[in-house]
Amino acid sequence: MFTTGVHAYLYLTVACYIASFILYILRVRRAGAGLLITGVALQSLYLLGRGWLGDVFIPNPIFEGPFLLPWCLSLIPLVQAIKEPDSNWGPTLVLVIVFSILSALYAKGMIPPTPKKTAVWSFLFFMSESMAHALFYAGALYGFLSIIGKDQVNGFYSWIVWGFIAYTIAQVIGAVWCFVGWGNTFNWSARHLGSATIWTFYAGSLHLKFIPGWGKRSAAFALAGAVLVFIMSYSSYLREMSFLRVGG
Amino acid sequence: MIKRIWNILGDIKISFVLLMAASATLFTGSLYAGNHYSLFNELNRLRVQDWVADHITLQPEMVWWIPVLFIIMACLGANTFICACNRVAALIGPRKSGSGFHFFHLLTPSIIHFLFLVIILGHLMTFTLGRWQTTPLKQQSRVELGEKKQMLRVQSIRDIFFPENSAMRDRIFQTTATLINAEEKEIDLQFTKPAFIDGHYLFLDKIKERKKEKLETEPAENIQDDENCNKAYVYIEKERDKQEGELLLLIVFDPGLYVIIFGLTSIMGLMIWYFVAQKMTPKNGKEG
Repeated sequence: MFTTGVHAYLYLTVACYIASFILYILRVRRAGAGLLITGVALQSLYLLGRGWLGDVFIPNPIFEGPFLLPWCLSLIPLVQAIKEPDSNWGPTLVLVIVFSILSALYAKGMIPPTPKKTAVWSFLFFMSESMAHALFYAGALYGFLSIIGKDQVNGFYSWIVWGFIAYTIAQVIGAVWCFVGWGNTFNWSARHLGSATIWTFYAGSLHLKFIPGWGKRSAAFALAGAVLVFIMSYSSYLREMSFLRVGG
Repeated sequence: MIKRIWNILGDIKISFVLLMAASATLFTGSLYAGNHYSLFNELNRLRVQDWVADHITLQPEMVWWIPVLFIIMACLGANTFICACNRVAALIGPRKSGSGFHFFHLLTPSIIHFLFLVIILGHLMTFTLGRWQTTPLKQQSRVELGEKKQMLRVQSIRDIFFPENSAMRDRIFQTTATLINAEEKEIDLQFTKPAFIDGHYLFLDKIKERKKEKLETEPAENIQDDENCNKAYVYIEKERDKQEGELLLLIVFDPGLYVIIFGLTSIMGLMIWYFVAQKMTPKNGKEG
């Protein structure tokens, strides 16, 4: 595909997002929304092109976390901007920019997948996990804004709830994938233990709403949860940078 | 007095503390497992009580968190049960007039919590009652399966490689092992496509010979763990007729499997339904 291995598309995507954000701040929101849409389109093409890194179509690199997460994040301001171009879609764009820059710095090749990792369950798992992470980060951002008084007090809560639902979906799909691939619904490995860490943390955080006097502190837990998600996921991605890769 | 203890044990503050304690223990465990992949990988093929009994006296500093995790989850299970029962009693007792839809919507979080208990029990069944057995798989070899000692013969093993003109050449895309049972019925096994026979699931697995020898000669806890979850090297075979990797048959008996899948799927569906339906129900300040 024409975007395969052409990382200029990724760098152009980042440039579009930055320019979009600048226009948003300058209150030229419709033009900013247009650049945002362009950025998402370019990022989508770049992601799709990753499927041919091995000279044969293999979906795995498309669903690699450092590249999929910014795309999932970009859907949030995209939907907000399309529904209402003059609305406040800018804050989440900051997240998109940050994580897109991280992906631009990440190793571009493909880790050769084993037969167990080319099952369709793996793609469904990574998609739902990345979407959950995106929602958790958005929840943390709105939690931060509520702490500094720039957003409604519990405006972040629904982001965390939907992130938790998406994450639970990921756990269900992940359990099926783990079983059909490895014979266990739960694997005693850093990856699975990390996933369970995140799930129990957010399960606890969601209960804060029902503890008198703790509702306001739940914004801090939303922030802490995002830090936990970042540490668990990016420590794993950093380790994977040293794995043998092809293409890119 | 009993009622007071019951209410304290079912307090939602206890739920929060236990969930955070579980999260912290799992986080700690992930650090240990990340640095000792081979050691904790054993736990995927053994019942947890057998593995802990072997290792708790030899490496207590590495395995202590596993019994702690089980204790926390047991407490969380009790707390969840009590809390959910209290809530159901509060909803059913003085039930106000209202639609059945609204009542079921209010009841849904409690059902979700009971399903959480189902999932925990399913995992407990797997960890304590499951059985995992691996056996080498070679052409024309025979495998005995289950209590009925059903005999399976390996008729053929075929590897499919990625295209020769691609960067993925010499790497296995998929393997098909064809087994024949006593009734001469063919059973095909592939990676991620297990077969179910006589209460057991059969999977294909693969290991490189040199790693297998290493694991056989050294205890897992002594292996300097450069081992990790990336098994790409296992599926490279430069010489098709003299393969380095060894194909294995993994035979699994997992009594908790369907309990877990039922619980997870039901929880997922109910959560989605609850929050979508929440937009349709009038806010009365008593939800949740």
